[in-house]
Amino acid sequence: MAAAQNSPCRDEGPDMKIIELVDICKTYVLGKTEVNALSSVSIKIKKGEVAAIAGPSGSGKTSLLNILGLIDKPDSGSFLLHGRDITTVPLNQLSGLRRGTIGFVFQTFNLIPVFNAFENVEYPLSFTHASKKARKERVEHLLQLVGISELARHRPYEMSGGQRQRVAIARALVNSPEVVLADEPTANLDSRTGAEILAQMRILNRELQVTFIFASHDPLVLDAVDRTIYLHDGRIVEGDRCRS
Amino acid sequence: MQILKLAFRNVLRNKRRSLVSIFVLVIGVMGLGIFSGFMHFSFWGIQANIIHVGMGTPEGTGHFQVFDARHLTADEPKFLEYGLADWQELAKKIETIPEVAYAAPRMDIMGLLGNGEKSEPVIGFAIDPAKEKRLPGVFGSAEPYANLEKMPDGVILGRELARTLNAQKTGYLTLVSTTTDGAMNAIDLQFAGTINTGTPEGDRRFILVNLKSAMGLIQTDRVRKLAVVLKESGGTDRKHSGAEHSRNDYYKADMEKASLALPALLDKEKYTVRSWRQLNSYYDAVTGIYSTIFGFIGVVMAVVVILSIYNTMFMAVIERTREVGTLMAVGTPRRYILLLFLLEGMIIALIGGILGYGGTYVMAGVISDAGLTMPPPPGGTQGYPLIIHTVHGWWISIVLFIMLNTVIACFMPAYRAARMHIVKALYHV
Ligand SMILES: Nc1ncnc2c1ncn2[C@@H]1O[C@H](COP(=O)(O)OP(=O)(O)OP(=O)(O)O)[C@@H](O)[C@H]1O
Ligand SMILES: [Mg+2]
Repeated sequence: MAAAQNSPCRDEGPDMKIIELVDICKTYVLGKTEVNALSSVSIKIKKGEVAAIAGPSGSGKTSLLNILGLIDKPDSGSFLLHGRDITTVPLNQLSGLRRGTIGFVFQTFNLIPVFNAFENVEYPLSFTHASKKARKERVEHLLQLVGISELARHRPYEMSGGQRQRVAIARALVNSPEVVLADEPTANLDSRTGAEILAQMRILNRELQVTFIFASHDPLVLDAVDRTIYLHDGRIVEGDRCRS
Repeated sequence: MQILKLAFRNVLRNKRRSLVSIFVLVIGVMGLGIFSGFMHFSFWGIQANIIHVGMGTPEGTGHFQVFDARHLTADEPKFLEYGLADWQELAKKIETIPEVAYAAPRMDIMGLLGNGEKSEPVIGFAIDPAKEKRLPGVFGSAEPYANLEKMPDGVILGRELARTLNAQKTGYLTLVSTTTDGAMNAIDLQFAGTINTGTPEGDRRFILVNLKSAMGLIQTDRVRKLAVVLKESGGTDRKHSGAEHSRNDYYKADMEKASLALPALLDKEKYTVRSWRQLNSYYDAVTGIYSTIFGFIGVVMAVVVILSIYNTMFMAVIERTREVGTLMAVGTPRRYILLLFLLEGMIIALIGGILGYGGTYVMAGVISDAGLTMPPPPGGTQGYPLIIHTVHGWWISIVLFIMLNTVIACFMPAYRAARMHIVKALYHV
């Protein structure tokens, strides 16, 4: 049933499937009222794709992205990572798994204000065993990839929104994750900068074979992706739409 | 480590807030540090007064006193029955202990001192001024003893007593007492000066006479006790410089050595040795009171530090909720979030501790050099200079205590940060 609802765009082997969500439900309780943020959502995330979760405000995009990103738990349903069911693993034990699998890009960039660009990108590496030299090379390489090598010593307040988002993208990629999740990555940028950022991510997707999942209602974003998952009131509507 | 770098930058980020926290710690350390320095000075001063000058009496206790064993446990059938008959040989023997400067014979007598017109009841301290004049050192005046030494039949009167008996004008005074056999006896004494005992009571009642005069009056060759005084006594300066401090420790070592050597030298059955501390309970009473006050101030400072640091840290954690969420999302384990805020507390604690230590050191010097005078203690007639001793050992303990409290205060906010739900933290507004 889940497979029928989410017809894969490129039918590759099951090993290319990174994440599979089955019948995910998420309900928020606010006092006496319950909000069904996600109702029976099933999707598959495949290696190397660029997809968007679209839908009006309050449709559950962020809720779905948080569950995909292993920073929130669904109330019911299953989470399969490379075919392994990790639904019952508590959130607290997922930080290690998350580090090597998922990178985050936020609407508000969320850089560490007291760190410069280099340090922001380097930070997630401090919980790995990478040597100082290896780290430096990795960070410099990524800063170059996102095109802001010359801003390495700049603190976030000394950078434009677009530059900050590039730093954030480099940070999300530093641990070589399989998936980068970006919630409204262009919402705080003007359309030209937004388009540049999207183009940047497409290049990274091609060069690094990293999957990008956006949550957005920005047409600019929807135009830039291979596949769009439409949400409405916490349900997937009209299946996936793929572009050839 | 990145976490340490992050903690350090975060301390620098909100400079004003960090400075206020550091200031609170500095005040805490300095308050306790200055008080502890004053406390040490007071203990030292009281100790010096008891040993070298006498608290409420015209003579210091010396470091030890040796009595006939029976004197402290039984009532004498006759006056000085349980005195020391062999005091001269005993003194020589005690003076062979390397740490001992001298052992001075003493006897106290009661009597009436008259000027021909009226008499006053007095308590007399019969002494050997040649030895006793060495006792006051810098802490008191040796002048009364020197005057007495010059006049074998002299008498030194408490200031008030001298005034009442008009002793200066009369010149000669008669001391009446009973002999060891119970008969009345009297001697004529020459006014040799006055002594300031430090209390109105003492100034009205106490006299000093030569031991020989007293022996003639009482008709005895015994003395009550030997006051044992250690070498290097008397100190050089009220202000406790580094050298002075080690000198004080040197006394302590001497006290310990002598307190071992004395009983070994003396027949335990025949003699009893008492230290100055056993002889005068005032020291223990005062140290008890001061320690209680110090403990109370310590608790107050700890509460102030904990509340203020807790409040500041809590605000920092709430303000940085989204940042905590971000740190977690990019892979920071929870224990590192805890560590981050604890480290921020430790950095502030370390800076506050070091500045507090330095501040205490400087302030102690400034106060000690200011030449301030403390009012006389209750029952006393003389004020004393206000000195803050440099007590590095105590100050280090105080700094560690304040730092510990800072870290304790950070623990709850840090724990709260570490327990945050990532999503709630990330979308916190
Ligand atoms: N922490 C929460 N507590 C209660 N309700 C919540 C919470 N987070 C989200 N919701 C509700 O769940 C529903 C889905 O929210 P979600 O943030 O996933 O929507 P969204 O599609 O990301 O919206 P937007 O485009 O505005 O970001 C909404 O109705 C929202 O009010
Ligand atoms: Mg959203």
